[in-house]
Amino acid sequence: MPAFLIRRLLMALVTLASVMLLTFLLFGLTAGDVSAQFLPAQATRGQRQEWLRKHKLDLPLILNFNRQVTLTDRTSGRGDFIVQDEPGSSAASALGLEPGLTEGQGAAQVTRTLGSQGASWLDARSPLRAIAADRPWADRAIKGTPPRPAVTFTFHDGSRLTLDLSPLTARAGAATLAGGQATVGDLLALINNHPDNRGRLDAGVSGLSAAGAFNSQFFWHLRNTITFEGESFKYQLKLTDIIAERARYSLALTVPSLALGWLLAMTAASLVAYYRGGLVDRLGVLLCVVGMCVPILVYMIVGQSVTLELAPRAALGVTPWTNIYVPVAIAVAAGLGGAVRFYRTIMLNEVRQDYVRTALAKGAPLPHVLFAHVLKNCMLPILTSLVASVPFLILGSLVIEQFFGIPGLGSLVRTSVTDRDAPIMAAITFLTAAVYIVGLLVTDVLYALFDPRIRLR
Amino acid sequence: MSDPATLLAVRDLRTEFRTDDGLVRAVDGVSFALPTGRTFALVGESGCGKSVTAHSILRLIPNPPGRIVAGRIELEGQDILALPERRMRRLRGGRIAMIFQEPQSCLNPVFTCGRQIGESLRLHRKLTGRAARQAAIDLLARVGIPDPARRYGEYPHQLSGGMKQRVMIAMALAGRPQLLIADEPTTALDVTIQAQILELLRAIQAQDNLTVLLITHDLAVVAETAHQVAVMYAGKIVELAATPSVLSSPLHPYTQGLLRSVPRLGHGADRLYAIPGNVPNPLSFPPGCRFHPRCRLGRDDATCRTVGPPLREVAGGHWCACWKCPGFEAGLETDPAGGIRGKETGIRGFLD
Amino acid sequence: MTALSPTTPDDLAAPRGRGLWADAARRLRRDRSAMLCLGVILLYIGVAVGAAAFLGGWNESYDYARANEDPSWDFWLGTDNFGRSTFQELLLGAKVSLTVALLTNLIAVPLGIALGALAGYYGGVLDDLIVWLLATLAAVPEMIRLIALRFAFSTGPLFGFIDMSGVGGLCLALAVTSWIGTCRYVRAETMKIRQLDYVLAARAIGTSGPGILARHVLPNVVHIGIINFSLGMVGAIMAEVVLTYLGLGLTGQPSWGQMIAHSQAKVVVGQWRQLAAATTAIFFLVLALNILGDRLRDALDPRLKNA
Ligand SMILES: Nc1ncnc2c1ncn2[C@@H]1O[C@H](COP(=O)(O)OP(=O)(O)O)[C@@H](O)[C@H]1O
Ligand code: SF4
Ligand SMILES: [Mg+2]
Repeated sequence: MPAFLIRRLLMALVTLASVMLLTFLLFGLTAGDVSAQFLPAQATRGQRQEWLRKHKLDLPLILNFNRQVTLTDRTSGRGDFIVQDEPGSSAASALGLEPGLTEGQGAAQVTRTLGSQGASWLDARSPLRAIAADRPWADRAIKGTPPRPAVTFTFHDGSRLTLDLSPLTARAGAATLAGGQATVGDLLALINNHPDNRGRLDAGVSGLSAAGAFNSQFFWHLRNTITFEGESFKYQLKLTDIIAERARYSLALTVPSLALGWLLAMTAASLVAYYRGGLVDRLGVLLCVVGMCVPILVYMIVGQSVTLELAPRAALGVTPWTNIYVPVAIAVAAGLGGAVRFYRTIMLNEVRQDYVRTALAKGAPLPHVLFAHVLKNCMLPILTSLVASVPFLILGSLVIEQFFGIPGLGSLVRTSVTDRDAPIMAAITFLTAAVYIVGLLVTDVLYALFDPRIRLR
Repeated sequence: MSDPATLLAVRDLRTEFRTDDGLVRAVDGVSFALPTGRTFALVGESGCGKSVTAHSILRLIPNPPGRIVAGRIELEGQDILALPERRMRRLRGGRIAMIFQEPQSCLNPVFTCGRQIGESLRLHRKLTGRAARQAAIDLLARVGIPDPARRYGEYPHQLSGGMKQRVMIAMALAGRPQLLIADEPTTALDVTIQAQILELLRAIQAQDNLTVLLITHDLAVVAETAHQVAVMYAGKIVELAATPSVLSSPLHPYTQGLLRSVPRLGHGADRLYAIPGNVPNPLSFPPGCRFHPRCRLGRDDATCRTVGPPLREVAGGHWCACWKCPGFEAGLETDPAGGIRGKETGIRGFLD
Repeated sequence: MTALSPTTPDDLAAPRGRGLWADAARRLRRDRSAMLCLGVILLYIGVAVGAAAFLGGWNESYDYARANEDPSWDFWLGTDNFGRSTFQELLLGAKVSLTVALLTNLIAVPLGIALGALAGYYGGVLDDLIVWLLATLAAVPEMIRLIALRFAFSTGPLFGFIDMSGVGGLCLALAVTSWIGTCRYVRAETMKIRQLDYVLAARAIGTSGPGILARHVLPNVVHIGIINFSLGMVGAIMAEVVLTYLGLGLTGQPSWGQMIAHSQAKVVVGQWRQLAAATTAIFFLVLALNILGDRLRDALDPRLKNA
C-alpha cells in the first residue's frame, strides 16, 4: 500500500510537471511581444521595455546565458541612485537606462543594467549597438544647438556625477549611440576612467552564473505557476488575488449545482434501475436521451427568458445573491439527462452481477439489495465520475457564468481569451489540472477504503 | 422404508426468455417431485435449462427478459408461484435456500463474510448484534472453516474458492431451510475440493434431514450422492428414475450416451465416447424429438423427426421420453410430480 | 447469439472475422431504428452539400424592407433583422455543423486507433510516452483544453504558415481533445488481444509486428472507432455551439451555433424562430447519432450489450 501510494504520488507529480510544460507551450511560447495590447498607444519604448521586464518577457525563453552591462553604486549598500538626462537630450534612454529612480533592490550591490535585453555574446569588444537603442540621443524637436548628450547620476549619498557621452558619438560621427563604431569597452572606459567618478560608479559586464542561467521565461513560468505569484497582463493584480476573488462566485454556482445534480441523478438512476426494463425505465431513458440532444445553450436561453417573465430581476447577475439559483437550476437540468443515463448504466451493470442474485436468494428485499449491496459496489465508478467533475467545481461552467453575468473564474477565462491575458490562462489551466490530479490521487486512496480487494495490491 | 412425503413438486414448468433474437423456451414443461430428506439430481449438458429450473423455483428469473409462463411449483402442496412477493421473500433463504456455481462472483466483494451470513440471520431468524455474530461463527465452524472467528471479519477475496463455497453453504444454512438447491456447487472448484464440498453437503443433509436438489452435469457426482435423478435435454426431462436404475439400465439414448462418455477406471482400452453433434440452439429446437439429430436410433425415423415423445412411466418409478425405449408403447403417461397432470391444472390450456 | 449460449472465454477470444462483421451488418440492416438514424444522418449530409452548392450569398442578402417577417411562402421560417431568410440560414448552417463533426472525427478517430494500437501492442517506452501524453492532456479539463488550443491557434499561423483560425484549426482543437477516449479504449483492448492464443500463435510462426497489427489487432478494434465516431460527432456538434457562443467558433458563414448563440438577446424581444429552428435541427441530428451509436455498440461489441 505505501509503495502503491508513493508510485501514484510520483505519477501525479510527473503529470503536474507535464501540464506546466504544456501551459508554457500554449501560453508562454505563443505570447510574443504582446505589450502593445496592454499599454496605451503613446507608450514610450522605455515603458514597453519596463512592461516586458515586469512580466519577464524580456528574458530568454529556456535558459539565460545572457550578459549585461551593469552599473553599480559604490557609495552605499542601498540602491536608489537617480538617473537624469541633460535637458533636451535623451541619452539615458538611448542607453536603455530608464530616467528616474531605480527600484530599491535591497542587495548590498545595487546595479542597474544597461539595455534590458542582454546578449549572450556581450563583452568589451562588442559594438555598443548590442545594448544601446537605435534612436537619436537628442530631441529633434529642440531647435538651435543640439544639447549635450549627457547623463547625470545622483548617488545615494547625494553626490552627483555627470557623464558626457559625446566622445562615443563624436568618434563615430553618428547621431545615435548604436549607430557608430563605439564598443562596450569604450563605454566602460568612459565611465570607470572619468576624472570625476572617483570610484563612485562602477561599470562592468556581468559574469555568467549557474543561478543566472535559470533566469529565463520558462523557469519564471514554472515558478509563477506553482506560486501563482505572476501578474495578470491586464489587471495589474497578482493572480492569487484575482483567483481568490473570482473563485467565490464560481463555487457559489457549482457547489450547489453539483450536489443537487448528483443527488437528483442518483435518485432518478436508482428509480430507473429499480424498474429496469419496465415502463418507468423506458420512459426515463427516453427522457434522458431527449435531454442530452438539446444544446446546453438552449436550456439557458429558454431558462433565462422564462425567468424574465416570472422574476425579471433574477435573470442576470448575482445581486442579490439568491439570483444564483436560476443558473444552478439550469445547470442541473442541462446535465441531468446524461448523468442519469450514466449512473443507470453503472447500476444496471452491477445489478446483473451474481452477488445480487445471491442476496435476492437470501430473501433480502429488492430495495435493500439495491441500496446496500449494489450501491456500495457502484461507489467506485461514481467516485471517479465525481472526481472528474471537480475541475468544474473551481471553474464553474464557463458558458453559464458568461451567460448570466456571474463574475467567476469561468467568465475570467472567457475574458482572458479576448484580452490575450496569458498568465491568467496558464494559471487557471494549471489550477484546474492540479485539482483534478489531486482528486484522482484522493480517489485512489478512497478506492482502497471502499473496495477491500484493492487493499492488498 | 416407506416412501417419504413430497416436499416440493414441480408441475409442467415453462419458463421463457424474450431476447432480441427470438423466444427462448429454456424450460419447456418440466415436472418432478422432491421427496423429503432425499437428494434429487438434475443432470444434463450445459444450457439444457437446469439453472433456469432452479431459479424458477425461487422465482429469481430476471424479468425482463425471462418469465415463468406456466406450471405450478408446490411446496408442501402450496403453489408458491401464486404467492405474493412479500411471502415469497420469506421462503427465499428461509424454507428454500440456494447455493450457486461460482463462489467467486456470488459473494458480494465489498461486504465481510460475517455480514453476509448475518443478513440471512437477521432476515429469517431475527438475530442481530452479538447473537447474530455468534450464530454466524457457529455456522462457519459447522461448514468446516478453520478459525471461524477470524474468517467472520474477512472479505471474500481473502478466501480460497473452496472456502467461499463453504461460506455460501453457511449462508444457505443460516435460514434453517427445508430444501437446499445446489446449482453445480462443485463445478468451479478443484477436484479434491469438490469431494470435500460434496461430503460436507452429504453430512449436512443427513444431520438436518434436508431435501436437496442437486444440479450437476457430472454423473459421477450423481452416483455418489443422489437418490433419484432426472436427465434434462433441451428444456425437457427425458428420463427420470431412482439413481441405480438410471446408472445401470439407462433407457433413453441420450442418457446412454451420457453414461458412455463418463471415463471409468478399468475401461482404459475404450476410446472416450462423445455424443455426436451439438447441443441444439434454444432459439429453434429441432421438431419432433429434440434429440433426434444426434440420436443413432431416431436420426432417420419418421416418427422421431416429426412427433415429440411424451414422458411415460415405462416401469415402476422409471420415466422415459423416447419412442424407441423398451416398454414405451405400454407405458403410462403418469406425472413424475405425482397427482394430476398439468393439462388439468388449467394453466396449460390458458397458454395453448 | 451472445445472450443465448453461455459465453465462454473462447467466444470472446474468437477473432472478429468476416462472420462477425457480416453478422453485425445483418443485425444492423434488420434494425429499423438504426437504419432510420442512418437515413436521417445521410439526409442531413445531403442537405448540407446541396445547400452549399445552390444556396450561396445568404450573408449579403440584406433586404431591410423585409426584416423580421413572419413565415410566408417566400420565407418559410421568416426573416432576421436584416431581412435574410432564416430557412436558408438553417440549411446553410448544416454545412458548418457537419463539416466540424466529420472532420474532427476523421482526425481524432484514426489518431486514437493508431496511437492506442501502437501503445497497446508494442508497450515499453512507446506506451509510456503515449500514456504520458494521454494523462497530461486528460488532466486539463476539456473546455479549458479547447479554449487553450483556440487561444494558442489564434495568435497567428502555426509554425508561421499554417492558418489555424478557420475550420481546420477548430477541428484540430476539437480532435486534440476527443482522440483521448478512443485511444485509451483501443489501447486497453489491444493489450488484451495481444495476449490471445491466436496472436501468440501468429507471433510464434514469425508474423511481423505490423503484420499482426494489420491482420489481427486492427480488425478487432475498428469497431471501437466506428462507435466513437458516431458519438464523437455529437460532441463536436455540441462543442461548436458553445465555442461559437464564447466567440471562439467560426465566423463569416451561417452556422447553427451562431443561430443559437445570437439568440440570447433576440429571444428577449420575442424573436425565437432562429433558436427553435437551429435547436430542432441539432436535436434530430444528435438524436440520430446517439441512437445509431448505441445500436452500433450493440451490434459490434456484444460484450457491451445492454450496458
Ligand atoms: N437471462 C437470460 N436471457 C436469455 N436467455 C437465457 C437467460 N438465462 C438463461 N437463458 C437461456 O436458457 C437456457 C438454459 O440455461 P441454463 O438453465 O443456465 O442452462 P444450464 O443447464 O447450463 O444451467 C440457455 O439456452 C440460455 O441461453
Ligand atoms: S425418440 Fe427417437 S430420436 Fe428421440 S431419443 Fe428416442 S429414438 Fe432417439
Ligand atoms: Mg447452469
